[in-house]
Amino acid sequence: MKEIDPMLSTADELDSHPAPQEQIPALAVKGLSKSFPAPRGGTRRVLADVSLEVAPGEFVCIIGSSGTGKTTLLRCLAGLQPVDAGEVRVAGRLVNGPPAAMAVVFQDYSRSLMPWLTVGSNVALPLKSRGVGKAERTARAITALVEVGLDPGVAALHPAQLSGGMQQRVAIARALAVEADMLLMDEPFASVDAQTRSDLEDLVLKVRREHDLSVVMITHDIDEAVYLSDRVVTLGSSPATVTHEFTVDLGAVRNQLDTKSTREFADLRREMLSTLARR
Amino acid sequence: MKRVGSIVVAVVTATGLPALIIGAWWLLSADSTSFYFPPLREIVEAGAEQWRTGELQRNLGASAGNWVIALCIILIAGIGAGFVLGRYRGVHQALFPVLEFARSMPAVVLLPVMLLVLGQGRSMQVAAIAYAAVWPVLLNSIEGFRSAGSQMDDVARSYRLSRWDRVTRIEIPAALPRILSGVAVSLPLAVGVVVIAEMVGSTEGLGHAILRAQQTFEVRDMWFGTIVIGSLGYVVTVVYRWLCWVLLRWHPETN
Repeated sequence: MKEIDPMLSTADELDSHPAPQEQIPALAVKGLSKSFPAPRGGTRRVLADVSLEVAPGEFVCIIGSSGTGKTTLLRCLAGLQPVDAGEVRVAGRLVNGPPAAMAVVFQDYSRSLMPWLTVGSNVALPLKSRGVGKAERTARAITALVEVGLDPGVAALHPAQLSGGMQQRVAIARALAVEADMLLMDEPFASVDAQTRSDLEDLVLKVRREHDLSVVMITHDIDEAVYLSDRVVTLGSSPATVTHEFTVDLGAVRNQLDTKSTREFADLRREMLSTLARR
Repeated sequence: MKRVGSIVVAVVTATGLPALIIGAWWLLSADSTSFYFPPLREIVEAGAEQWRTGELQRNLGASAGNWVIALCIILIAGIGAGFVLGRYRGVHQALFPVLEFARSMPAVVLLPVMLLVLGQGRSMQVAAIAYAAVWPVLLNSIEGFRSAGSQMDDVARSYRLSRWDRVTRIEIPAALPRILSGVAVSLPLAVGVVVIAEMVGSTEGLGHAILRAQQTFEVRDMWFGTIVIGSLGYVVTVVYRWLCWVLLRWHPETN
């Protein structure tokens, strides 16, 4: 565990001295605050001075208990919600709307996939608006489906004909098809069973490796966070801010059985649990 | 074999009761000497005569024409206005009092006004049908588009869908179940208003034929016209239900 380093490169530095490509963080959040109107007048502060950085190719999990404002943070990172103070930069560029370089996998697949479109059309839908031709759309959708471990034949089915785990695979395929550099995931495996969850975790590790993606995943599951990420950021207190950061040094290639049986995994897990329990 | 059996069962279940009612009517009325309730056989014969002279086809054509034109207006105006009113809360709030006033005004009340302004004939009938039957489509479209706006909004925005794709691929399909259930109410309603409009403002069509038959004591023709209109409503409903099934095959409740 290390203390939070508030020193992040400022916007001015980035703009006036364009750094070499590999030094620009994939995601840089600085002093982000967000309030909402309270039900009985006034405002309720949800996020206060949240700062974090994600290096290119890094996998960062943000954990925190329910109601801490994880989803609000994700919506701010995704450019779906304007921030009150502070800034979000994706690959050095200020976010003021959903960035093209970012793909989001939402928590509830039944609300994120269009039930009236076939699986293939769901995956290809964002490509249409990006001006990709019909033949290439279809080809890229099929490629993405195969990549997430689905049979190309499912492209003709409707989402409701697939299991929950398969539907979330389709949502991941849609994120891959747009060829983004960064994946943003909001508790993507919260509503699938344990076995499916492990499979999907390994799938995310695989696609992240193969596409050299930067990933930010929100979860409330410590085991999942340790298993998947290079770094775990905890979000806590009210209003929420970054309380701790843990570096996870478990190597690039992991598997459910061995990785979770290692001493390092157990130690990290224990350390995180005790830190979080102490608060 | 089992499949054939289940089809037979389905056909018998669907047609059994109507067949029983028609059979009972046929038998019970066979010896009727009542002027107002002639035997069903004679009613059918009167209908066959109408077919031979071409009167039936002419009236059916006129009524169906009015109905189809009015329906097109209802669908375009109802869904189009529903989209605007459902998507833009401010427009809906501004128009709400006028809408509610217009909706509460029975179409029958407006018939004399329409007769006066548009005169007897097609435009008056179509206007009356469209006005009377547009409300279910309009109100359901408003609700459909209103709820469709928020549900998939995050997906549409984060994947940067174009305005066109948002409307055609997300908002319209999301609103479709509500729109279709509105149309399901409007369809038979429109059939009813076709008949009323023809009774007061036309010299052709099924409504006119029924009224004329009643006024000239052609009781058999009157009964026959009534049966034709009832059957039309039934056919429209069955065809429409099939259409909904095709359009909503993706919907979890359809399967």
